Amino acid sequence: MAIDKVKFRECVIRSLKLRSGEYRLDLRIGDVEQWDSVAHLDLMSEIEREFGVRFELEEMATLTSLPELLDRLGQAK
Amino acid sequence: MTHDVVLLGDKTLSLLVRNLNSQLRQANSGWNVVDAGYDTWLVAPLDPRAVLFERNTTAWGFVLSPRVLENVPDIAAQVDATLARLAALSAPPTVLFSNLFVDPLNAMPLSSNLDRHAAAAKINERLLQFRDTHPWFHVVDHVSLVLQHGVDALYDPRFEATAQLYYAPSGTRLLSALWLRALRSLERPQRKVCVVDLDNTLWGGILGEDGPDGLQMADSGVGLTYRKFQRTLMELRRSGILLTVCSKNNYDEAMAVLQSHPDCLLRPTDFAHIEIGWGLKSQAIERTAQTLGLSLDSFVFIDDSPVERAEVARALPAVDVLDFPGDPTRLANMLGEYAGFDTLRQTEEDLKRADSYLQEAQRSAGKASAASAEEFYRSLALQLGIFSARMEQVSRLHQLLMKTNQFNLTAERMSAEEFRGLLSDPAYMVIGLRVADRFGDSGITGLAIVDKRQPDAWVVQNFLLSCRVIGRTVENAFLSWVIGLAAKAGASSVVFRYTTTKRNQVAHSFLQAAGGTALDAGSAWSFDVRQLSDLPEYFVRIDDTQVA
Repeated sequence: MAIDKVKFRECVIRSLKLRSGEYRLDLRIGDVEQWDSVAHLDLMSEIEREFGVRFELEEMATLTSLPELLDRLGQAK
Repeated sequence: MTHDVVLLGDKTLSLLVRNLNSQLRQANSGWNVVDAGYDTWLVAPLDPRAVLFERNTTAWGFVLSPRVLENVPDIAAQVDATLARLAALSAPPTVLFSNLFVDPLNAMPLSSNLDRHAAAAKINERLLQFRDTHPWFHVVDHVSLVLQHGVDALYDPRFEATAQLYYAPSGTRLLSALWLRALRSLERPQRKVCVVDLDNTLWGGILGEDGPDGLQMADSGVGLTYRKFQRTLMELRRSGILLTVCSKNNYDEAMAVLQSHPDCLLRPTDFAHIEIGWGLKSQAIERTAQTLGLSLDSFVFIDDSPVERAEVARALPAVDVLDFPGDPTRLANMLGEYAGFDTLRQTEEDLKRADSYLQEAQRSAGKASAASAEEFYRSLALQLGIFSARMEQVSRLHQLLMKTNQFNLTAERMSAEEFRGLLSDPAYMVIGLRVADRFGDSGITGLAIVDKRQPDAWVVQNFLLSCRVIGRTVENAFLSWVIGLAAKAGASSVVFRYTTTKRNQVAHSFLQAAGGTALDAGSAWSFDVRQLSDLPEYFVRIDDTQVA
């Protein structure tokens, strides 16, 4: 499935409350102070809502970087 | 300056704290939310080193999840113990406490939920009882939140498993919106007046085109949405919000509908003021404000016409102009979603306010027919109850202190905590006033704060009366009473502190007319107790048996 990259970017910036210039495609948890374990849950929930996917419990703990997230969304049907 | 509200709960609250803080910043709120940590609601209040007891903490919020009903042995006793602990604090903070609901997802849904609902209801009842006797204690309504959105929208087991969150991120957003409204309602004055248009607002249709028989406000079809809206307005009125009409129509025709249309629920007596005519709505609203003696920043305007809304919004920026829904079935909801009328508790006076404006109109009618002012005052049979303020009356007295603008000698405001502090300070005497006459009971409508530290010269820190009760010699009676009390206590003078504001000219005129001597360039007015017999006359029966 083709991923709407613009929507993905906006979703990440909104959930993590990123400042301008902080968004990078290779961002992972801990790279910016806002992406802590609490914000991570918000991000998971927002991605689910925006992209109509549902993560397994285990995925929530492992999908901790944008490349991994994009990869996972690419596999979704 | 910000003040902290510490949140305590049985589950992780960090996501709520994060959302709430970001929303509070956006709203320019003075609140800052602090997380007391996971499952601290029972232990933190016992620990004097906890963040709860830090200087900047003025409020505590208990955010409990349904899990307490399942996991805490004898939860009812634990809630009771917590309330008792709060009541025993020497200076209790403002406390917000969530009511409890049951998570219905369990193994025996047909039977075991019933008992849990009953247990939760008992605890919720207890919280309300406690609230009624403790002015600093408020209940935040989680039950309505879950009734509106459902457990499925609030809870997700994955987030409880990974992070001990009861409220999932999407549910936290809803919870956060509720707590935002609760906290904001504590820091900003409630709006008092709801101005409504008639055509296509109070009823469906346009009177001038459809005629009275063509208007829709019956109990079915499109009319039902307008009828529901009228019911919601009635509810506002019962809660102390004044309703007024602002409509472009022929006066007689529109009044006939309000007076006698069989489907119209609201009648002319339900409105504190009616403006029906062809002039600018902004001017009509300004006249309404003058008649009611209220400032425009307590007004809310509801009108279906975008042109009228724009005109009022431009001319009167202090008025809140509500976004009118395109779909009339959303009309009744519009008021529930609007936060300007929010309050966590209603005082007895709020509930009486709408009627008191009607009584005022009756008094004015009597004034016109009386031969002299004295005869008019006597005909009112005014009664003044003077009492030493007790904790039960603190919310109303503090509300008066915050809201009174005109007959207010200093317009100095103070936080609810500071005000409660005065009650237990022996240096001060906090005196309240109840006013009633043959048209009705206005409730608690006056306040004086007296500093008795100098036995010879009492200092009245503030002295104020609601604009609803002045102009009938009540202020004269209150002044004489205070000076008389000082004389009995052996003081030789009473000094009233005074600060000029944009709106308290009436208070200044009063001090002058009563024969006070201006001190320090008018920042204080002194009365000698020997002046007592020369003070302005009053026609009021005073009962001060409730003064300690």
